[in-house]
Amino acid sequence: MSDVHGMLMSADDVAEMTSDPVMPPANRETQRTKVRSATLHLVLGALGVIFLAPMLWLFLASIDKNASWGVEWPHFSLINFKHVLTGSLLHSLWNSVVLAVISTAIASITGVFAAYSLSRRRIPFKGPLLLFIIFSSGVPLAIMVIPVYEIFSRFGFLSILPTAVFLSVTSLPFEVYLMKNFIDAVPIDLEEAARMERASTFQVLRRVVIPLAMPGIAAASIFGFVNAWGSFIVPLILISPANQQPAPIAIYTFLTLPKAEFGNIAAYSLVFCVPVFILYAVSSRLFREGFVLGGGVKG
Amino acid sequence: MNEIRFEHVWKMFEGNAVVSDLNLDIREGEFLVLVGPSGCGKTTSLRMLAGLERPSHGRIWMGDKDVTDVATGQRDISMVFQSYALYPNMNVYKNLAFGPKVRKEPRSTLQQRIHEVADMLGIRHLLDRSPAALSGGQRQRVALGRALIREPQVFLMDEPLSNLDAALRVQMRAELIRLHQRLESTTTVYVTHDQVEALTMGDRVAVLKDGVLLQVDAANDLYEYPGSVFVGEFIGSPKMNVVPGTLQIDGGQIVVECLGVRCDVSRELAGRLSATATNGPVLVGIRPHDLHLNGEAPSDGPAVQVLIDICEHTGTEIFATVELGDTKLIARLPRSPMPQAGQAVEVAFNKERLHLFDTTTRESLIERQAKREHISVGSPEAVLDAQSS
Repeated sequence: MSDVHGMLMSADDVAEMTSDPVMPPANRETQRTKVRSATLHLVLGALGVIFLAPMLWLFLASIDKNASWGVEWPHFSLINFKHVLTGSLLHSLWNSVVLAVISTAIASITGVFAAYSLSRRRIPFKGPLLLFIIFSSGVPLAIMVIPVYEIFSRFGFLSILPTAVFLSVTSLPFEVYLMKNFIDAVPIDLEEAARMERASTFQVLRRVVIPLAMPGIAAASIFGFVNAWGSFIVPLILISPANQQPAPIAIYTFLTLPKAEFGNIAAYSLVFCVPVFILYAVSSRLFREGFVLGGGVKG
Repeated sequence: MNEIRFEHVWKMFEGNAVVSDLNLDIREGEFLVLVGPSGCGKTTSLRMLAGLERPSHGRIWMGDKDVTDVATGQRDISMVFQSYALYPNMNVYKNLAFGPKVRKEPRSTLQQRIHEVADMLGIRHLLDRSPAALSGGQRQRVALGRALIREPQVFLMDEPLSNLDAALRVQMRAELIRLHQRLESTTTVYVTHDQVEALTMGDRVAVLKDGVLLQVDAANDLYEYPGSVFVGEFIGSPKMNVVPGTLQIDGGQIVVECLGVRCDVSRELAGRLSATATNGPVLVGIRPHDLHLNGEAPSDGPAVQVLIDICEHTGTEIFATVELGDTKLIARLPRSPMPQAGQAVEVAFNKERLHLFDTTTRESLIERQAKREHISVGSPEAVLDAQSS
């Protein structure tokens, strides 16, 4: 019986091998799914336009020498950019750079060490400590800024550098948490292997942990940078010298002028966005590469 | 200088002893394998030797130096991790150069050394590749190379072959043995859960179970003289059949009753019977290789009728699970006539190769050397004397 079955099977196999495979008719979209899809696209498109309109205005107004609050075809000119890239406005941009770079540097460097310790070391009450860190990243700045103002004014700190330190502290909890998760993902074997080679903790960090957790550290740094760069209320309250005010305050002062200069506002806002765009462009490569943990450990 | 001594070493994790009172001497240049089921403490023992874990009690010595509190980097040991632990952000060359660089060893000879090691392991053409672009076997070699660069006194390997496919594992096994022979004075401690690997590679094999070292012996001795039921069952594949039986030391005759048959123990085996053996129940160990079709082996004991349940073909042999009432046994059967499931056959065991174990301590009742040799098996008084002493 089994032999007969075996022969039938082999005959089938031969038939299958010799005849061409038959392709069933293509599965076409039905009329109903077409209508549904078109409606969806229309609604989403309309929503998109509503959100895009301010951006469009920003761009058109920035190159329009007679810009108004409406979206209109521009009288092309670069005069607005020329206006905003001079004098105190340019200086405000520079202040923003100083504020954001210092704040980012402080938060990232201290953050890496804190995240590494939280990830790898035995720390008493680590669980509650981590919970506290997560919660403190959610505390609104507005409720802290008045007491901090009191402290800063008492110690004569109402200037750009102490404010940069304060901004770094505000972004630190989230950065530490983000970086800790990335460091957690670096296999402990790699560290132990390095330690057995007589590498110090600092060498382990510099050569193994930081390169492998780089996407996370970069993401945290960008978060810190954007947090400081776009910060408005903190510098407004904590920086008293007018020549140390960053760009967001300058944009705000545009609006307080008796006659709104829409072109200048738009041009300045665009210039203000440029560093963030550059940052994302540069780091996108890093994110795309993602984790390079592949091939290091197995099992 | 390269011998290692574990002295009453304990490791506790949250109140549980993972390693209990480990006493083990590893000789210079020896290839010692730590083997046992998962969770037996073999990797923990290795990590304590590596300095990655600190013993809760006891000391570890390397030569005449107490290294218990010496930092891992200062111990002159290299380790191959189960996961290989290659740095994925560095290419193969940089992986190999990592150790010498962090130890600030002279750079002038570094390249030459890396090339030597790479040639030895056949990975010279891979030096520019990243670990992600390597196959499992190649990664394994790089991990080995990284350990070799250091020219350590002691090599530690933590299940280095467990992530490789079967064919590659056999090949790497041979290569590791060859490598160990080349590095004469280097002591190697190798951890595995695979008893075949342990038997084929180790000069000596240490069997651990639940954190306790059960037996350390050369591979053949471990197979021939298992000190306990566990070692008997763990070492050897398929595992030893252990069945309840009765020992009767009756006058000059030593008779073992098991599987429903009585069998006179050979003179040689009787001579090696431990002094603690008494009349009564015992556990009888019979290796599948010592259970034949009736009439196949010269020194077979009485035959029993069994029913073949399952046949496992390994290519060269057939291991059949046979049933005798409720007892299941594994027997090695010849390829022809081809045994069939459901068939009734007569099997007999080699009575010279029985293993006897105490039912309570589960330890062997057979001594390695014939301690009773001066006692005539035929003399009942002598046996009784040995009993009472």
